[in-house]
Amino acid sequence: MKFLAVDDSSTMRKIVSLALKGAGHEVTEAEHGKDALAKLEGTSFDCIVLDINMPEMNGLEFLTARKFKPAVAKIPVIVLTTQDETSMRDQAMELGANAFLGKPFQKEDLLASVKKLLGV
Amino acid sequence: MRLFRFLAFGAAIFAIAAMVTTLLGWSLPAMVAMGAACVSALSAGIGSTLARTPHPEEAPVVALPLAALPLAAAESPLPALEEPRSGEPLRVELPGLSDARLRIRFARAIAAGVPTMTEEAAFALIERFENMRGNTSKAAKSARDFKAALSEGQGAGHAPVAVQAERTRGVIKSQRESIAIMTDHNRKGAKDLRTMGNELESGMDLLKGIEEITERSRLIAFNMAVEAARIGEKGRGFRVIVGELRRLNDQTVDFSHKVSELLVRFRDYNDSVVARLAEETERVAKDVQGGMKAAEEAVESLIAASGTADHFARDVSALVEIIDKDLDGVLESLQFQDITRQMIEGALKTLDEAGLDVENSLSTLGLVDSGAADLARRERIRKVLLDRSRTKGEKAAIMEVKS
Ligand SMILES: [Mg+2]
Repeated sequence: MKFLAVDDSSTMRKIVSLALKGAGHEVTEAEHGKDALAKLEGTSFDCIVLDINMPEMNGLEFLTARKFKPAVAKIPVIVLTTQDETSMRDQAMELGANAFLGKPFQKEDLLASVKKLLGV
Repeated sequence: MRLFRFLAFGAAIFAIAAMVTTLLGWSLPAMVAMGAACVSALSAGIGSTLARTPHPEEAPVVALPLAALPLAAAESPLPALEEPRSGEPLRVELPGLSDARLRIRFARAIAAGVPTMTEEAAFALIERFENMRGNTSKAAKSARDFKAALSEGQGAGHAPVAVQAERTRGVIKSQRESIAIMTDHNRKGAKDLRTMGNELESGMDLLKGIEEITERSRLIAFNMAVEAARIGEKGRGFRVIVGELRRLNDQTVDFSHKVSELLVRFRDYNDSVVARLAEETERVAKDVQGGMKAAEEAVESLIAASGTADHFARDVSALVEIIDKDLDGVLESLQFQDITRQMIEGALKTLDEAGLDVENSLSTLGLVDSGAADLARRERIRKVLLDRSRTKGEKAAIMEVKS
């Protein structure tokens, strides 16, 4: 499966990549929401792993922008954030996120969410 | 009124200094020392510069005569400051305030360097993690292949080691049995030959009987010859018979000697064959049994080794699994780099806001802190901070602060 890992922290991008690649997936990295939208143009992905706190375009703004792009709106989103609070979870889910994980995350939890969403 | 606000301002600076120390993880005594330094510097600065003295070039500098002013002095009645006559900002020399503002800049530089450094460290760790994971997957694969070779054999037509060893053990067992049967047969054959040797001995005894008979018939022939001679012409026919009898006797003796010689040779040959057969059978049986025993031991060791190897492969797999779990734990820990980075970014933002608050307060008061731009002051603080710094990164960040 093809994943887009969106996070302004290069450490986080690398860790998410390692976890997903270890499970046999392909991963492309994006530094923020705008970068992610640019990378989603013309390339198809099976899943997006999305940070919330990012410069340029944060995760919530990305989720809002995603709604207006039918091709992107179909791709499931797993939110991965340090803001592991109920209010943030509700907000993200309301904006169309499919799963919500707090940082630091456990590889098993991420892969379990992937399995639940993609069946792999 | 202005003085009152000044003291409140001093307290704010103290709070900022305390925040900076907390941000940089300085110890409580260091914080207290810095706070005290801040307060005394502010008081001393205010005290020494309250008296109005005209600045050589720009706006006049005000010296505040509050050298012995305690922190609680804000509550006591204070002399009012004279408002500057012109609309220009009042230039004041407040060493504590200037020091605090400079220190904030240094603190900012030090704190700002932390995320980069932790990110570099995290990446170095991740690189090692990837190396290690590469090695553990190689080890896991080797263990799997090894285990497969033990239990499934290497490729088509190759039975697994354990099965091969088990099969060899069966072959050796049946060979051992065959050898035992063959040895038994040989022993029995040797026994039969020995019995035949005994029969030959009996044959030779029989020949001795023939010799006795010929001796007796020789005697008869002699007596017959004597009798024939006595009866004269009438005994001529007898003499012919006696001659024939003697010839027969001689031939019988000759024949019996030849048979006896033959039997002796045959018996001797039989004896040597029996001896050699027995000796060879024992030797071969001993050699074969020895070889079988060695092969059996080798097979047993092979079976034991294959069991040990199986255990070993399983242990390696288990170890690899543990290492992989630990490595996942390392990755999980490294996520704190992102968390601390965001915390530091938050602290830096607060620090910037605090700096802005100071600027705004000065501006509201119509004051200009002339000491903050003082290069000598900045270098003096830099030196103090450099002397105190404990890490290379901290030193580098301190060195990078420019005007
Ligand atoms: Mg972030």
